Amino acid sequence: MKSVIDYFSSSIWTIISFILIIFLILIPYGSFLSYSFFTVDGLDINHEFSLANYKEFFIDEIYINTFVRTIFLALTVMFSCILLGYPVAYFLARYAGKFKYAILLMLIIPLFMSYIIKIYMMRSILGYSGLINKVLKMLDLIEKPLEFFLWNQNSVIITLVIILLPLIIIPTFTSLDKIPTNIIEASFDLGCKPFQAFRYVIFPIGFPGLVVGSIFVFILALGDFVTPQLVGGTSGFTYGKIIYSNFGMAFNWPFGASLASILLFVSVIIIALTNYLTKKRKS
Amino acid sequence: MSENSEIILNLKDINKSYGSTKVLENINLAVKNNEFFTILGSSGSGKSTIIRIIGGFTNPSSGEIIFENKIINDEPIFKRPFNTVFQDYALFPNMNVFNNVGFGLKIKNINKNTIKEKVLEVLSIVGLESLSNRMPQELSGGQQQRVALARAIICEPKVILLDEPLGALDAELRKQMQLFLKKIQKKIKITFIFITHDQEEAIFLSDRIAVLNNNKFEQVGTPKELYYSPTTPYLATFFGECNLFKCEVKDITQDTALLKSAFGNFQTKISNNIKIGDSISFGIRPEEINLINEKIENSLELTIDEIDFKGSVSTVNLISAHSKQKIKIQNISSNVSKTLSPGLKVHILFNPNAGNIFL
Repeated sequence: MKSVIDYFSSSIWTIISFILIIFLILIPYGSFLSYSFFTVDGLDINHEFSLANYKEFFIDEIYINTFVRTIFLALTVMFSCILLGYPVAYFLARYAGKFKYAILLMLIIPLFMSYIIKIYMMRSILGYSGLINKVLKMLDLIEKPLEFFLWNQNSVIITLVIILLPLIIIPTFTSLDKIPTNIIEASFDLGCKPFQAFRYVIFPIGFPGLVVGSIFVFILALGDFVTPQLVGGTSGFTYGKIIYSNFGMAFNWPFGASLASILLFVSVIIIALTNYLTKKRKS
Repeated sequence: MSENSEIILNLKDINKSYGSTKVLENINLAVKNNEFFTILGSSGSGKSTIIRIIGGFTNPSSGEIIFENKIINDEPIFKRPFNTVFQDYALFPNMNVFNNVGFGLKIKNINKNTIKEKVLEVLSIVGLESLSNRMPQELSGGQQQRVALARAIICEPKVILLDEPLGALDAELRKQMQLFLKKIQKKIKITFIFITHDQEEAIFLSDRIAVLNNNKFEQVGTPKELYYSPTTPYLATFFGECNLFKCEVKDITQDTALLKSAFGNFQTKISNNIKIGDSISFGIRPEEINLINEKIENSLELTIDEIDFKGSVSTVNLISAHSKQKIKIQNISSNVSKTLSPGLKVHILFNPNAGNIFL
């Protein structure tokens, strides 16, 4: 009897989970993808299959150029985050002793803060009369406010790096912190100098955490449209901002959907590729 | 050991404390070349700290570590000619068995073909040739243990430090690994400094044992010395069973002493410097006491308190009219024990050459 009930209840859960997957994941993706094959006709959407949107993406240089530029921007943000975040995570995991979780908490707290507020905060630091320029002027180091970090690509990069930094520190810290002390001791015991212990043991074992953090940062930087909107000015134009404007002012949902589909496709390929390379490295 | 018994490693007056907690006090140690040396102590006795000090993972608060007549206190871990087998193996999870074992050679920039040759050779010594492509997570505890040992052996260190390597294994595997360790140590002729809390394991494996108690060495010696001539009452009861009771020295002749105890007077050989009138502890192992049929010189008359029947042999506990303390005799064969019953008076004789006097 019991096994029949078990079977019945378990099959109900299976059905429910399938329904959830279908309604919450597959159907939204499906409608999103199908929209990318429609076109607009004035204010109406023409529900006929067409590849026009994708054609336009490849024909009009501005889209591909922006796309490639945005990928480079996301890579710059990612590598900057690695360069700044890895040493912090490493220091926390290996040398911060009993303070490490307190310091980590301080790094996590900004994640609870609204993303928009943080961008505005960056504006008030980077702006013409922002903190940096004011301090430099007060010290008589400059006469005119510096501009290279405002209303352009640089300001987008700086802002994204600062906002996304915790996302690379946390997983990297976690994977470095999990390395048992005796494994590091074993590497010294077998003749490693400190740098060799890092190169052959600590870095490779902590690598998966770094990869997870890097993917987070890369994907979020790649799709971001609020930061360029608020600090990017006219030259800090990104792919995400184009998608955003197609759903907004341009009122071209099908074209926006096709641009977003391309972004999704590239992101998935990047994640799959990283996964494959990480696994291959292991064996 | 006899062919090559020069001392290669010395610890001199090593002290170690963490804050106000003393972990080690005046540790002195001389380890000979090619011996299987065991540091035996209960958990928290500081035995792991000794190995960590030798290996360079911890610095002593004071004292010297001398290797081949050179003080090595300031040598970093990677320069010391020792390798360690860690308690939970500490294999590198990102490398397969082959790379784990070959790691020490790779760091020394030895060429790939030589590494390959050596790794295969060492893997065959520990019996793991077929598993060289496995990851550590895919191995059983015993196999991981062998990899850890192979990884240490391949570097041809002068000393291998083993920090309770068998602690995590189940009883059956533990026995197998003991045999394996003993065999391999004789084969590769490297000094082993081994740590355990298990007396039987220590006696079975070791050429010499140092017993650590209350942060100090109680005694250092061969298993036989520790068993037959313990220097303190603690040690007498630490290895096997021992009847331990108070006595007074009544008389001393050339090499025997007459002792007065609650069980009666008896003679035994002299050990230690004793004087007439000294009050001492006397220890004798159960197997050194014989049941005899009738009263003879030096025998004691006691009453049987209880008999623990264990099949072919039994253990008999005796008491005297004057003492609540018991004396235990072991291995009474069944054809004798069936004639005994509680309350019966019997005569016993201590082997006059066994027994130890503790001041």
